Amino acid sequence: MRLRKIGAALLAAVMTCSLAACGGNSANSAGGNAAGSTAGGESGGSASREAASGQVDKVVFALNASSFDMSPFGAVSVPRFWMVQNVYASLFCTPYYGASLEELEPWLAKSCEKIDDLTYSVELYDYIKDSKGNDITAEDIVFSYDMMYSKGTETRIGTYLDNIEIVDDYNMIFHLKKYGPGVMEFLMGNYTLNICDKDWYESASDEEKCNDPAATGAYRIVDYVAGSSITLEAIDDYWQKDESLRCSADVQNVKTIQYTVITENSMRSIALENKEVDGAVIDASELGRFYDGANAQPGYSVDIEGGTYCNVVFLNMDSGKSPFADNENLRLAALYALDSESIMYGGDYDESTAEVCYSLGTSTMASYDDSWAEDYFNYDPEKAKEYYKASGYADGEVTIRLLSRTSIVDGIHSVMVANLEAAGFKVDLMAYDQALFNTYKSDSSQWDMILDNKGATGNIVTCWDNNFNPAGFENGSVCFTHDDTLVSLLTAATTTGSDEDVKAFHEYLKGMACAKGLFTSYNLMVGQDGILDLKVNANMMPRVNAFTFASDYQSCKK
Amino acid sequence: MARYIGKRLLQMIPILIVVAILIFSLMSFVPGDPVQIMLGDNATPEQIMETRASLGLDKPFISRLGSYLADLARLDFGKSYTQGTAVGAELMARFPKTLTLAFFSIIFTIVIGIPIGIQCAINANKLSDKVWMFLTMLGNSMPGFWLALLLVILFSVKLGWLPSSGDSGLNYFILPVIANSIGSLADIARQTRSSMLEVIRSDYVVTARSKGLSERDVIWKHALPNALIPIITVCGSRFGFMLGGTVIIESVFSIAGIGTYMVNGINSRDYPIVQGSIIYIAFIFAFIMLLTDLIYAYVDPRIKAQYISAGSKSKKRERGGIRKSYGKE
Repeated sequence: MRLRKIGAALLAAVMTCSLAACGGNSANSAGGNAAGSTAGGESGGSASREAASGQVDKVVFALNASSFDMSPFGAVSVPRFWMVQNVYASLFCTPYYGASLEELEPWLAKSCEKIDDLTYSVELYDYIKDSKGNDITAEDIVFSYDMMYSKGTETRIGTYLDNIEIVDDYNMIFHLKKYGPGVMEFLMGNYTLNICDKDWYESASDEEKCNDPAATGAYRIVDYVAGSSITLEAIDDYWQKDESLRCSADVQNVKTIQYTVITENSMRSIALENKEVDGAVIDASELGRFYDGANAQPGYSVDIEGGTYCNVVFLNMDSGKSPFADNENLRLAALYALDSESIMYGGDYDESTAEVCYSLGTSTMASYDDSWAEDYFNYDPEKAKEYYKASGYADGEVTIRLLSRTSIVDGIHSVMVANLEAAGFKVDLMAYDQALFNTYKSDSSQWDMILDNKGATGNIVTCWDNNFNPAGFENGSVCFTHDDTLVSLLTAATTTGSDEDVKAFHEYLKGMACAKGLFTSYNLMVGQDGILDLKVNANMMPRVNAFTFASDYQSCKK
Repeated sequence: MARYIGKRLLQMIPILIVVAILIFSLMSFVPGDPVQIMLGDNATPEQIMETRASLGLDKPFISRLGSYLADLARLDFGKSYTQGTAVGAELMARFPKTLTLAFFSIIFTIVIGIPIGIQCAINANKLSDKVWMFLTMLGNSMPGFWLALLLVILFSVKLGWLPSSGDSGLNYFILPVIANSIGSLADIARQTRSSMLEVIRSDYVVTARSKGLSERDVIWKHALPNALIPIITVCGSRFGFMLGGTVIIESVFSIAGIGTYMVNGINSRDYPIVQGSIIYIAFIFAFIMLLTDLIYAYVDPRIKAQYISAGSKSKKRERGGIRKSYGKE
């Protein structure tokens, strides 16, 4: 009896300690961000302080993935996209998401002149040198574009670019395969592009390419510990000496940028609270620790930027492979059954961390029309049931194979399944890892409905083009459509970008009832007190070198 | 003894070859295309085919297996598809971190776990034994990631004594080592208790006591060495597993070890990374098992005698074989 009592007391003590430890942050966890804050660079906490006039010494920023390759033309990864423009320059710099060609800032290129729709002449500065002293000329530009395409760093180059003609060392002519909104913006200044010296690249060892590449950007790699950290240092004798000619990407507001890998969401927040890092990109579920719904918590700066990726469902349109393909009523039943807002909440998001989409694209994309929100398969369970009945199937007769990824929050799947079952469907959820998902998504015999994440650099027509241009698919499009009208409307929209053509494609796509944008999550970044402005690049990713610091800023790791 | 070690080392070669063939075959037939992951959504079918050809993935299975084994014979594990770096170099770079974590974890486990087990055996069925057994059961059933987070919240967030994540100094390893050890510690404590209980009741321990030896000498000099064999077995296999990379602990504490490297490789179907990591793990495990066998010999002279006699028997057989062949001539 005595032993039981002691055992019970011990158990109670352990449980109390555990609960105390778990709940210990309640003071900081001011949740309830239902204030309806709009996405777009809300900062707080340190806004009234004076900005530093010169370069600050160091910033330690958390990276949320450990696997990346910073060699020239390295494989695609999220950390690479954050850092690539620190180390490698492109012809132009895109100052913000969706900027047009006229708004791009010259970087390696001095100018870009339109000759005709498919031809542009580009002139380089004649004094560009990389960090190892090599001259950068037109030949290096051609080499870099070829390498980016052939090594898969940027596959869209092949879609847009026919060839680059070298006029002389500093002048080139870009011959395009197609024109339209986003094409030249992509080729001149996309954040994934990187230029490096041909001779250096061909003579450097693999180790040198990864650990100490010849940098054309304003920073060079000084330390790289695989999977753990990477340290960049501002190049003292950076080739662009004239400060007035610097662009957003090559400012050197920080001497040393140390990116340190912290892959777990909650651990990044803990590292911020513990002052182990100066800044981090955080998960929506963590925002309450640093933001009260309207302002940043004392001691932090918070930046909320609009989403560039849309969570979208596609319905399989391959005839004979899915019940949706030849039954419009069934498709409408499924689309009206899905409650985008509930699905968003199911994913641990709310109005301050995400917003509902009303097209295949997000409201931050150029050419997006706010009026689309009025009628876009808006959730209507009764309508969904009616369409289901009209489809000719009995309740529970249709089983949807819903293809998704294991990385998606379970709550999203739960709400989707509940929505569809309420309309009369049965759902077979098939959540796979990214590799299997990628394999199965191009196979029309594997799924009826797919939940995917689709984005674009700047313009919504690019997003549509990426998903419905038959040139990019073996089987018609992302959801196996084979519709000539859709393709001709897409061609018109991507070529002219005019409001009429954009609207015509949107309406036609909606009429086909084969896709529905659900929601987009915002990009959330937190900095310590002392970082006054958290800048982002053209894809809403941190641009640490361009942060604005307070005059008394001190890095957490001196 | 040296002969025995040499023989065991040679036995590792066919094991590693079989492991290499198995893992290569499994990775080749598992669904999931590394090229599609590398190139992303915007790649055209032509680009996918070109990249597949450049990586040699369009060649027949047997041809790829042959060149893989040939490379392996030169200790070339290949290059990562996604990171472009040599897998062998990457494994070597990550090994010290995994070794640090595993080494200190096993030391912590042994230093704490064995004395607890001995104390429990000496005080079997008393209150202290029951309390320790309850705690070890708790330690055994606690998920590592949960314990890791609790430790971080307490020692890092609340008390501010230790860093919450990273691997740039020994102090960064304190919390991961504790989180990594608790489960093993509980296992070893329980194993020690049961082994010691068996030994303590044996005749030679009673004899030692009756000779008037102190209880300390009886336990540490007579009982423990005889109870060690099963404990060493558990420690050896635990150490082997730890050296193979503890994925969850490495992920929670952002330690760039072998475990996270392999999991990233699996998720991106980066065949060279997965194959290289598995071969490394197979080698490490075989090596640790050899080490375990040698420790058996060190603590138990009877086992040492067996190894030596096995060596001399085979020597004799060889000599006999030679004589026979002379006889034939």
